[in-house]
This record gives sequence, structure tokens and C-alpha cells, in this order.
Amino acid sequence: MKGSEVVEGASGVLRQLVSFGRLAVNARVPPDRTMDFVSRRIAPAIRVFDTLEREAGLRFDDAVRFPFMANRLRWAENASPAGHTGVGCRVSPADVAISLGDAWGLQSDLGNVLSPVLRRCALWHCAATDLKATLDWMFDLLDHGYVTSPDSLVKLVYGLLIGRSLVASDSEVALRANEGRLPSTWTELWSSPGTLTWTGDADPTGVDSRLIEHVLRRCLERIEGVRASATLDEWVTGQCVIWGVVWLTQAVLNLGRPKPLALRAIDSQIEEIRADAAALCGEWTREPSLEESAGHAQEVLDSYVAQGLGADRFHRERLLVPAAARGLDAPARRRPPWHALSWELADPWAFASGRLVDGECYRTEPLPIEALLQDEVLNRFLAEHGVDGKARRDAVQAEYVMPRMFRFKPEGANYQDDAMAFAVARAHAAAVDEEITRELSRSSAADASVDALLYRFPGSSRVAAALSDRLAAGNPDRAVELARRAAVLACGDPAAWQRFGTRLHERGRPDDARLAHLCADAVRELRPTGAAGDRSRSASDARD
Amino acid sequence: MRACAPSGRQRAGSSLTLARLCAGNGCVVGSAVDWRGGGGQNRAVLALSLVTQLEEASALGKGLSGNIRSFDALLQPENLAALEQAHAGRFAFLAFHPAADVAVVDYVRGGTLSDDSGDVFTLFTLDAEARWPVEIDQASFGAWLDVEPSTHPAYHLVRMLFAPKPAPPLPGVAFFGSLSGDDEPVFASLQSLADETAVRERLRMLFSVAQGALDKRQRPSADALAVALEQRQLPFERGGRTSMRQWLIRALRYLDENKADLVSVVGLVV
Repeated sequence: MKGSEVVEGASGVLRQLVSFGRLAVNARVPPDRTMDFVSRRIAPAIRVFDTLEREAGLRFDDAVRFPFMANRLRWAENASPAGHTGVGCRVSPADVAISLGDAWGLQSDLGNVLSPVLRRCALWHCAATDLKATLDWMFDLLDHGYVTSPDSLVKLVYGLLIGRSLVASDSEVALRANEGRLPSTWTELWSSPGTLTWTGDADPTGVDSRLIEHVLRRCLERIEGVRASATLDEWVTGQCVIWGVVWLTQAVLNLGRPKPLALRAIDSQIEEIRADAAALCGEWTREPSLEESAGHAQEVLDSYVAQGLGADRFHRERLLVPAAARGLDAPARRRPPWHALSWELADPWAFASGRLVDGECYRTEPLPIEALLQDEVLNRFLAEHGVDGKARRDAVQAEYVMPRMFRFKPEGANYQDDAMAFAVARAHAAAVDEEITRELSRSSAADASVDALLYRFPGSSRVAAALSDRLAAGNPDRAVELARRAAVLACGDPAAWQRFGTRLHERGRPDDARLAHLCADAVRELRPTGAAGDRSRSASDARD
Repeated sequence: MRACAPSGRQRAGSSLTLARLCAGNGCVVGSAVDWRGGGGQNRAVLALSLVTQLEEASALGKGLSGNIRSFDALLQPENLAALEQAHAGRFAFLAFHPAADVAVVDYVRGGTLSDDSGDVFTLFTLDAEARWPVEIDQASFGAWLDVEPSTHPAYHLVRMLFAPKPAPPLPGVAFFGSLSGDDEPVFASLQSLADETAVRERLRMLFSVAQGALDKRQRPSADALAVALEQRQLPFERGGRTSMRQWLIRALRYLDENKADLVSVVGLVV
């Protein structure tokens, strides 16, 4: 059957949610940023998914095995609380969105303390399948954005592995944790003790070595997956996720037993991978690119060559250059797909990295510093904090251009790092906003002009919306595609869905159009009058 | 609660589906399924180069300018000490041709070598470099299938080990008591074993004999091993006094030139 543009849009929305979760694995996103993302992206996503499920039977494709976990807000009494979607499974995209939001909220509140939901779901999964499958499920959760605190996952894995070494079967792990009873409904599960603490009689050397090997294999396989990244999007999310995967794996490998030399060697090797990931994440600015880490990668490559180990070995053992980018020169690194994030990652990146207000102001290249230095609010902030004259430029340059780990504060400045970061991010957003207005007014409907704008502002719903309007008469297919992008990027903006519906109607797709308009209605209900905080807007909205 | 029960929500007739979710963002949904399906009964085998292990033992780590430019420098006794202490005089080299000795290849792929060898540190040659852990699977050893038996790297290594005596025929397993000292290798034959099961039975017997006989605290280990094999009527040949360290250096150089490696299986049990 013909593909539905609205369903494709829904897929795009879910991918954005998952991306945020993956990026957040090593990012230590402050709780208020996470909650911001939840209210601006998760809440409308749930509305959209529910609407499409009701009106068009939206569900996961049977071939997709998306991991899921129950949540505290809305979970059917008799539905499995843990597992993967697939044939016969009724877990919906809305369920997944709610679970992602609940999981992030819990982890924001609890930090490294193990989520009570995750703990119980894992125990249930172990009793319903086996421990090996549950380990796989936990790795899948990590890889699909549910787990932003790998430390808590370590506690869970320890509890399960050590617990298993004390009993005779996998299901007994859950039995022992629940005082001899296996819950049979979600309510029962949620109110069960689900205790994972084993003290005193916990001997880690009794842990089944095949399970440890299994964890190691998952880790090595995931490393190869990151190495095989075909785009910057995959590379960036892969590095974030691999940090958590290796962290978890090392904890398991070091479960209190003396390791043979080969395993110590592998432990050291994956430690390097994790260090590489941390270094790369620390080097990325607000516009990550492959070019940014090229210098660091070259240094390490040079040291390999100097030690007589060779370039092949560097590429095999370290995760500093994606295999597809091996041998790329600087000009090639500055071209797609390595030059910048795609429109699909701009918004989640903005929230997770904390350096941008949202995807609207993601710009493939940094702004000239002068644009920021003209910002009145920023200048007032600097003046109030002991920065004037030439020092203004230095201070802004340090915050705006330098990667997090290289930031410095000029002499005499007395601002808090967070406050400065926020001030600059705000100024950047305002400057980009003005620039978009300018560029839109002087650009045309010609392909080159459209492409140039999308290239520079890939995460801007406003740009996509305006271009969609512009192309509606002359290039209706592209207009639909851009309207879809605008709706995905600002999934909480009813006008975006409305426009999407209009374009679909113009294109002779009344069924799809109707769905889009229903999504607009559903999302509109979420907005209280005079909603603050949602910066998404369409070309027809008045500017502040 | 094993099956997903209906959640009570209405499902419309024409269902539109979220197809290929996350396919563009490096989502590993597909690979997780495939991999679990492929696990099966056989435990897949992870192997790692001896070179990497010695580098780890050298305590210089990867990040430092270790100047381990030559195998000569890598195989200093202090670097070999960690392995020698862990395995207390029990070392083996499993020699086979991947096309001619199918039963042995199947055995290696079968995944029990780590358990069977116990604390006998067992090396074999691989047709690819393994400085980073590699899976031994159906594709492994493929590069050498067409190599003439007499010029196959494993033969070369056995020849070097037994020179100037003539090399015993492959397949087989050479036992020796150290990596750094002078030893007389004992080569137990694995010839004429019909299949993987027969190879496994023989190797389990050989490893268990070796573990008993190669302890340095007793009489010179090679003699003890030879006696034990003789008693069980297991065919073997003895090599002359050889510097194991020199053999290893030459072996690593030779394998390096031929884009191959000397590996051991990664097991979790010391």
C-alpha cells in the first residue's frame, strides 16, 4: 500500500525522542533541560501517536523489535511490562514515548540510584524469559534511549548476575527478590518488593562466566557498529552510547574475579574506547563535526606510527575515526555526511548538549562573534560581571567557540559558568532568529536558494515551514516533504501539523491530510493560552 | 502474563505501520535479533593476539611511548613473566591446516578449547591479525585454505620448533614448559582422528596429561610428559633443546610478514 506521509512523520518524531535518550547517555543533562524536552517533545508526541493509533491503527511494524519497558503513568494491566515489540505485541508508539519520558524523569530525580521501574521490569523479564535474554534487553534499552544513567544499569546487572549465582535457576532470581511470589499483573509487579540487594553471601566469583562473555560480545559488537557509522549522526550518537556500553561491560568484566591476561588486555582496550568517546564528546562544540576531532585523532595516529604500531592498528583498536571516513582529507570531512548533524539530530542534540536553546537555532557553522557581541542583553550581563572592553570578545569567544573542556574565564570576570553559557546560548538564539528572518526575506524558491537555507539551518522548523509555503505551487512534492519536516521538528506546534495537512490536501492526499489535521487538533489541546517556552512558530505567527 | 494481551484500545481496519523505525540512525534493532538467533548451541570463540597480551603484561600500556618496536623487546623475560606465572609451565601450540585438517578446525570453531585446555596456555595461528579481539567463525582461516600444506604457517612454526630434526606431521599439539627458557617440546599427534568429537576426546586427554606432567616442580617436564603419553599409548615426537623465546620471536616475525597472527582463545577462567 502507498506509504503515508503522516506515518513517516510519526516515525521521525519517535526517532527524535530515541536520539535524545542516546545522546544523554554521557551528557549528564541537567534535570530541567530533560523536563523541558519532555514537555516540548514527548507530550505532543504522545498526542500524535494516540491520534494516529485511534484513527489509522498506527503500530510498530511486525519486523521491528523495539525494546519496551512499563511506565508509571499509563500501562495496561495485563500487558507485559518488559520485552520487545513484534508479532502479536500490543505495545504502541505512544506507550514507548510515555515510558521514555517516565524513565528520563526518574533518572533525573534519582541520579545513579536504580530506577524502581527498571528494576522490577528486569526481574519480571528474567522470570518470563531467561537472564541472558534480559541482559540483551537491557543493552537494547541502553541503545534505544531509555537509560541515561549507565551507573544505575551497572547496579541492576550486578544485582542480577550475583543474584543468579546464589540460586539454581533464572526464574528463582525473581522469586527470591519477591519473597517467593511471581507477580502476574503490572499492578502486582509495581507493588512487589523487587529487592536486588544481596549482601554477605554475595561471592562474585560464582557468577556464570558465559554471561560475562555474552556481555563482552555485545560490547565488542556495538563498538564495530559505531566504527561502521555512515553519517555524523550515527557517529555522534554512537560515541555517546558506547561510553555507557563500555562502562557497563567493564563493571561486569571486573566482577571481583582475577582476570586472565587476555581479558585484562581487552579490558584495557575497551577502556581506551571509552576514553576516546569521552574525549570526543568533550571536544564537540555546539556544531559537532568530524573535522573537530580530526586533530586529536591525528595526534593519536601519529603516536601509533611513532611507536611502530602502524595506522592499520590505530584504526582497528581505537574509535577515533569512522571506518567510512578513513583517509578523508579535510575538504571531504567538511562535506556531507560528516560536516554537520542532519535535521533529524539537530533538536535532540540541542537539548542534550545544553549549548543551544533548541534545534531552531542549530547552525551548521558558528556565527561570527560580532553577531553575538551586538546583543544588548549579553552585553549587560557581561558588564554586570566585570567584563568589558576587549575582554568581552575574549569571554564570548571562550564560551561560544571553545569545546566545553577548553573553556576559560578572562581575568576579572565573575560570572558563573552556567549563567554565561545560558547568556551566550540566548544571544545565539536571538541572532540566529534574526538571521533566519533576513535570509528568508531575501531568498527565492530556486533549488539552490532552498538548499542553502536548509543546509545552514537544518533543525529549524520555521525555515522548513516557510520554504514549504514558498514551494507549494511550484514543487508540491518537496513542499510536502518540508511540511513534514517542519511538523517533526516542532511536533508541539499545531500550525505545523495544520500546514502539513494543507500541503497533503493540495497534493491530492485527503486521507493523509485528514490525519495531519487531527494531529494538529490533538496537539492544540496541549497548549494553554499564552504558552511560554515553546519557541516553535510558523511563518504566519507574529514575531515578538 | 507471558503474551502481550490486548490493551483494550480500538484498532481501525486499515493499519498504517511504523516501518523500519530508526533504520537511518544506526539503531541496532536488527542486529540484536540476528545475533541472538545466531548464538545457538555453539559458544562462539574470541581470540586475541599474543602480542596484545604481552603488551598488556609489559605494564607500559597503550597510551605511553612504550617503544616496543621489536618482538625482541616485547618478549623480554619480564613481559613473559605474567603468563609464565599464571600458567606455571603449561604451554601448547596447536598446529593444523584449515583445509586438510577439517576435524581440528571444527573443534576450534566449536568453542570448547578454552574449557578443555584449562590452565594450559594454548596458542594457534590465525590467518589474520588479531591485535583487537576477533571472533573465530566460519570465515576464519579462509585465507589459508588454498595454501600448500607444506608452506602453511603452522607447518613453518613446527619446523622451526623442531629444527634441525625433521618436523613431525600435522595436525598435532606441541607442549612446552615455558616461553622464556630452553625446553624440549613434545609434539602429540592428532592425526587420523575422524571428526570434531574425536579431536575433542583426544585433546581433553592430552591437556589433562599435560597439566599433570608439565609442573616444573617435578622432574624435567618434557620427560614426565613423554612418559605419561607413552603409558597411554598416545603417539608423540620429541624435539631437541630449543630456546622458546627465540622460537616465539621468529614465529611472530614470520607471521607478521604474512599478515597472520599467533593467538590464544579468550577464556574467563584463569
